[in-house]
Amino acid sequence: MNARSRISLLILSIMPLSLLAAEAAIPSTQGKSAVAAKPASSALVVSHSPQALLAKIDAATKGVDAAIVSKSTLTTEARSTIGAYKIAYDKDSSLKKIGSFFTSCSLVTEGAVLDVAVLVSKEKISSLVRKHNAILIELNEIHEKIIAEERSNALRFKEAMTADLDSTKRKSEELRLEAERSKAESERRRLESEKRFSELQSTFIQVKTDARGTIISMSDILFDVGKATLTADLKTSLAKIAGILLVFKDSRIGIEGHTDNVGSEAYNQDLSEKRAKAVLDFLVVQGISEERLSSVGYGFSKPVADNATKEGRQKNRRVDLVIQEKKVAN
Amino acid sequence: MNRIKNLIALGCLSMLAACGSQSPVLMQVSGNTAQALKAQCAQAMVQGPEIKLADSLVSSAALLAEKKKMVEAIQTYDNATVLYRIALLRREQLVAEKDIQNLEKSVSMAQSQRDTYNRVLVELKNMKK
Repeated sequence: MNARSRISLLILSIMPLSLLAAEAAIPSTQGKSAVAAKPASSALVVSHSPQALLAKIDAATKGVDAAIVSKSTLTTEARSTIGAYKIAYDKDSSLKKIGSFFTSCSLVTEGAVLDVAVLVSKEKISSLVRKHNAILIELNEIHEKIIAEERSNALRFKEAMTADLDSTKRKSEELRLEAERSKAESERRRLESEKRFSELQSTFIQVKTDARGTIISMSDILFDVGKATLTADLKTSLAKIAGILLVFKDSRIGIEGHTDNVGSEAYNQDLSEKRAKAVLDFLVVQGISEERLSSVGYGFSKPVADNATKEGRQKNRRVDLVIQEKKVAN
Repeated sequence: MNRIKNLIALGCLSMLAACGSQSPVLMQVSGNTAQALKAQCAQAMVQGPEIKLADSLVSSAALLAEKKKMVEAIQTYDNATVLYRIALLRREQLVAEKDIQNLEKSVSMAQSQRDTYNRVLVELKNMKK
């Protein structure tokens, strides 16, 4: 055994390895140990008793699962070695006799303490791995639930959207059909009213249709000359017209008075207004809502024929009923 | 680890045998055990005060063996063996501590992720209501 090893083992024999390691007991490259340079008195306080070594093992294994401790071969080995050391120690506890034995016991005790620590760490690793795996499994389950929920929500959303779309389509179709029905009904009424108005056609009442609607032109012969009072014939005709208008409630009636150019403008304007108003009043009496009616006099401003001739002037003296059907939206 | 256990078993056997006899064979077993662990430490690049001391003890044991001091040689080899084991255990403990740290981080992250997933799940379920 060389000098360095002898010094080191001497130190080992009087100090636990932990102290040895902590104080860098290994001989330096210069061949001089830091601990070896210490006074021997400081090392003498270290106990060599087997109980102290056992106490170290007990402290290391305290609270550790017995199954884990049983896996530590070094602990078993240490206890066995310490047991043998105790016998020798009890016989003679002098350093000279038991020094090298104590060194071996110290080393194996240190190893046992470390061995238990490593086993505890490994057990902790196993426990953490188990815990980690359990959480990963849980995560996977939650993830699957999330996907299921998302699918369910997406499906519900799609169903709701589809239902909404169907409802909108149905409503749209209903509106379209309703519009078609209204349009057809309106057309039917228009044709019906035209037919019925055309039945009024006579020498003095002309019925025509243009962009403004159905126009019923009544000759001034149906009025007293120069007056706005209605003759019996006109009243009869207007009553028939009122009867038709009562049925076709959606129409609006504009009453327009016209004259020829004989006489002053003011006279003709006044006469045309009065005649239009007289017709309006009569229609109201016949039950037509005043809201549907309007009257206006144009005097001789809107002739339909030449005022230079007798026939032309006669055509210009008239009262027109402009009947407009209510527009139906497409 | 099984290899180490086998070596330990051999070492124990050699120690016990050395107590009863001074057989060169048992001394050889102790020496081989120490040498094997020394090689293992070198291969694993384990360093530290224990390695230096154990290397020194192996050299000393060889000298003792040459001088036919079998008991001392076996004891010295065995001490070296324990020192190598301690060095290996220290390395193992360091690795284990790092593993524990990493695992604790992973567990913490997984727990945090689980909490987040649970919150998302609750929110999704609340959307139904």
